[in-house]
Amino acid sequence: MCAFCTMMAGGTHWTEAGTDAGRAAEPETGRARYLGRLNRVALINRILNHYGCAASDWASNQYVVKSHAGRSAMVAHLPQIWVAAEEIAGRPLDPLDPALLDTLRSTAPKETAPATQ
Amino acid sequence: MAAYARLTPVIVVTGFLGSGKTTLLNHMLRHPSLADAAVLVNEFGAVGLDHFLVEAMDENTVLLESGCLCCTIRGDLKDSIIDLNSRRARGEIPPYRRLIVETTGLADPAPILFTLSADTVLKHHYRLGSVITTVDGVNGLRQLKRHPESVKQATVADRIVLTKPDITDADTLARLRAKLTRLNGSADQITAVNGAVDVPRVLRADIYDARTKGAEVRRWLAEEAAKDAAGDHAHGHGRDVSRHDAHIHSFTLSFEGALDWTAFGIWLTMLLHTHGEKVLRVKGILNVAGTDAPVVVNGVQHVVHPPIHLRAWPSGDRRSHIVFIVDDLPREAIERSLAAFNRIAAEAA
Repeated sequence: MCAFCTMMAGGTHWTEAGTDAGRAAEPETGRARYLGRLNRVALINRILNHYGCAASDWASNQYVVKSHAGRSAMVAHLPQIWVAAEEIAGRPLDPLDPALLDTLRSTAPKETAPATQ
Repeated sequence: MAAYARLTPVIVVTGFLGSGKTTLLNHMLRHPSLADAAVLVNEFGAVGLDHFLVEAMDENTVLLESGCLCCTIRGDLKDSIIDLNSRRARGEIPPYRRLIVETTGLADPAPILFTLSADTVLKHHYRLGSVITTVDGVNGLRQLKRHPESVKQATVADRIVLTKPDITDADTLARLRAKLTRLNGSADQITAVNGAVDVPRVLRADIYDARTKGAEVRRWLAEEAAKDAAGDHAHGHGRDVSRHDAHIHSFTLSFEGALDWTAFGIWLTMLLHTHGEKVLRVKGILNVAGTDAPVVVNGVQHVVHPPIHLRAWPSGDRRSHIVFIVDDLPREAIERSLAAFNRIAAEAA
């Protein structure tokens, strides 16, 4: 199994932990944490939209990744989102892919609904 | 930060076969600042010798039983550290405050760093302090050319100790230094004759130590600036002084505006998911939107260490600077991608 998939199992991922153990501010709690996750999910969906997938927050401690076809997976943190989305989309995800970057440039911020592949 | 800083730092000493790791350790362990260090050693071929030498100086030495730290006995590394931890807790051994792990000469150090940061038990007691890599002055160029492990060891280093400079001709040493600068320009290069090294300078590489992190980040930036200047002078095309030399090259991306932390995390995790094998090192100082103090990030392949805040900017330069050491990934693609990800955060704001 990929080291990256398992490396943060059982712990807070660095993108969501507190200052000096993660985020650029103190660890968020309650409503601030919830809003932070919604913001993260909105940005993630700008990416996943290109691959025909979408993510949503689940109880502020998991993410659900799903496709239009109804395939879904529940994951704990960002790296696992990419693993799940890749499997669900059936193709590799690549942040350097010019086609993805073109999509990001051309897609309005509110257009985050999953696109049909 | 406070809690993370209280964890026992682990200094990883790596370097190719015969490059002088044990000789260096023998010297370093005599320094008062390492009087409270425990040592784990593991070496192909010269196990008995290494064990004897190190054990003679430090009763806390444990010889790992298997031959390779990086894969088959990663569990042994974990078990050995946990065993040391238990014995320390029970008072059976002196209360060491640093742990030194000497890798095999053929080890890829990345899985060792992974073990330290990912294991659910270890990460609550230990943290990575720094990586010290010994490079043989006489044979280093040939080893870097022929052995990918040697390159890997150089790219993950915070400090590179050039050994045997007294028996290396000046031209070879200069070419080796230049090669190492191209591979990992932000690692301080220090020479050691028969292991004699400036120990405090070696130990200042710990960016999680409140006493050293500001100076260490300033040094990163100074090294990169010097490398940029050398590149401009020598090749006239800025930071990529090494891009034509080999598949592995380093470069620095600089961004004028503030970066969105959430977008940066999304981008870096996705980059490492897809290209982690090729991102040998990423470290940098970030101007993060919504905060006055800079954030320092530090990663080796798939392993990203907990980012930290500096109390203040190390200089008047408020730009974000991110140093990459990559294997065959184009700088332009990485720069364009990060800018695009940051832009979607700005659009959403």
